[in-house]
Amino acid sequence: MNRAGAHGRPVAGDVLRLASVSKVYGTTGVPVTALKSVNLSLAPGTFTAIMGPSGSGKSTLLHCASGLDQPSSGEVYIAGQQMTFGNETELTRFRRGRIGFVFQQFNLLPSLTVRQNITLPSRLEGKRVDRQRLEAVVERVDLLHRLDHHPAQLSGGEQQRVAIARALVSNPKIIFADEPTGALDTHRAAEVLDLFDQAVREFGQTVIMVTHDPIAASHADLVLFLVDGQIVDEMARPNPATVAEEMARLGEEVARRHARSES
Amino acid sequence: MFRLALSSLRLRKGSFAATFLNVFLGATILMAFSSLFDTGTADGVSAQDKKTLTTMCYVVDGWGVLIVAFGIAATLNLTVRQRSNEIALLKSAGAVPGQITRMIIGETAVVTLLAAVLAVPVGYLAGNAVVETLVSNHQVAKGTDYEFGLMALSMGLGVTFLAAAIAAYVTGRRASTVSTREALVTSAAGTTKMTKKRIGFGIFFLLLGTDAGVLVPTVLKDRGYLTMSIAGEACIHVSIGLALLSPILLRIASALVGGVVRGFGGTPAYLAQANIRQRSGRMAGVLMPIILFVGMAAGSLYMQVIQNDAVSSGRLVRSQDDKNVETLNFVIVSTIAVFAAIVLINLAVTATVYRRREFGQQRLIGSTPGQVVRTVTFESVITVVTGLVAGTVAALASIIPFSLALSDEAIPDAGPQIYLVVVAIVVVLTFAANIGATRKTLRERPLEALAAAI
Repeated sequence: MNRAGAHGRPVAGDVLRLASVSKVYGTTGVPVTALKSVNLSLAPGTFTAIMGPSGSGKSTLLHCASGLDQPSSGEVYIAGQQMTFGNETELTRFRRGRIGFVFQQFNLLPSLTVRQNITLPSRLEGKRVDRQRLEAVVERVDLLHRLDHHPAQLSGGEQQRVAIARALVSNPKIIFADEPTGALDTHRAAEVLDLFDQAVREFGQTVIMVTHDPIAASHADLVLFLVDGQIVDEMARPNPATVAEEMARLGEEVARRHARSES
Repeated sequence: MFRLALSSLRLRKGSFAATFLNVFLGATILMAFSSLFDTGTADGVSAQDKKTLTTMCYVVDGWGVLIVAFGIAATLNLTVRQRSNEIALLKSAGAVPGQITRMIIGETAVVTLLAAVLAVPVGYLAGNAVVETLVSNHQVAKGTDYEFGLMALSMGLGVTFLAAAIAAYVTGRRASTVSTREALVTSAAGTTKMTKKRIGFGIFFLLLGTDAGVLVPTVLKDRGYLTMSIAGEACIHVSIGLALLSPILLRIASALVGGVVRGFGGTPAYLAQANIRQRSGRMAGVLMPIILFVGMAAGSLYMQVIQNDAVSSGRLVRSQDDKNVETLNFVIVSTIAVFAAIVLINLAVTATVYRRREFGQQRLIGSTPGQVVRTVTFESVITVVTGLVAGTVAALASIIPFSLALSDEAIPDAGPQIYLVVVAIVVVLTFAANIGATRKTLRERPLEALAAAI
């Protein structure tokens, strides 16, 4: 179950904790508040989806929680350790081994083979690649026969599986996935989501995923709904229909609110 | 398509500035030295002066045409390649290959025209300055009137236009003939095999250079200026040959140096090696100016040293011609070297800035900014080493035959100072351009780099 809500109260063993995290863009001119004092805690081995209308702050939340962007205020803890937003080198060192990423656009390095892409984070960290884990992960994502190919030779679904393997192999505390199925067709998307499921069940991974797709969100244990930079609702054991309904309801509410503020 | 070309010019000032600078400087040099021909062939100029002036025109134009054409082709190739995504999008929106080619030719024509026309007054003044220097050095009679005429304009404008047109046509055709899917995919991979034609031309030029090199100490021995100019040609031809074959050289160097570099370079060196293996074609672009710079500067300067030694040891009688040639050599070396240096910086910066997306990706998955800089540093090490070796071979292609011809010794009795200065300039320029541009791309956050580059 979600242990969010309760004002970011520290819970032992939380993998991710946000304590009143806010993000304001544009210090000059009209400032835009993308996140309003968000509190959130995620337990290990959970799969959480974040949904919300366009401009609700989903991506900003993901970026602030993963250290890709610096919150204007508030604190971020990964596995009990506070993220210090110092210079990029320190932040990168902090993220290494703690955080894995899966992006909509895969972000594989074109000049490296599949095997080299998957092992790159470990190499950059200066760690030895764990052969057994590499083999287990590669077999799980079904890429054994593709290890010596380059990204350009793979389909979109295969590229995303490489990205997932890359995130899994260094055994991070948490994986952040930003619209991981956004560039894939329904069938490939289902494969990718199944992989996240398995990562959570079999490898005990913690996954947090931003998506706008109710089907993708229904794979999660818990869906958090974000509107205007605040978590307004949550749904445990979601199914596509109820998620879609809730999204429609929130969409209307937002439209009504904006119409009111304009009149 | 022409209107599209114009709006794309406005949007991409940076990469077009690279082409512009190249054409502008190239046209200026060509016009300045071609005007010596106009001056020399005017009525009332003595036969001796005519010879001095026209020879200078021929020699500089030989190098100039080469480096201008190479420079324009390389810059254009790079800027078009960087837009393979945009070109793929245009095609998927229904542009036919002919339209893409026309768009690229249109863009290039506008930039080239602008640059070449602006180069006319500058070329005029530069040519005038050269003539005045020759007069004050008493190498040309006092009162020689400076002429800027047909030769200046036709070389300056003609060569740049022709080079740009051929380069634009070839690049445009290549860009427009790959299929849309391929273009979208390979824009990320960028693996380009060298064509058989390119390999063939490379070998052809190496043979031409060897031929010239063999002729100098044998058939052409003791033929005064001819000996020197053919020895110079050996260097030009070998430079062209090696520049054409540079992707292969880069891969060989990467395999040889790679093991050593990886030993102490860790992951950045490993990444650098993978990048070079996969993208030797793209990375070889910067080798061309390095090879030409080293070959031309070291070759010409040491030939002068050999010549001076021969004179001072009494093996050779110094004539007015020789004095002219000496001035000429320094003029050529400095002019062409400055131009090659600018092409080098131009290409290095353009290629690096283009990689900001790749650097962004690398940072997102756990590379510190320092590791990105080290990756680029190792790439530069491998590139510079390759370029220096190839450039040195090119320089030796004229130094050894010329030394044999004048002193019967293969290696001239001259210190390494000139060579070391040439090497130092190349090393400083390449590293400064590559690392400076990389640091600039690192100033934005990785997410911004990714968003901006899509």
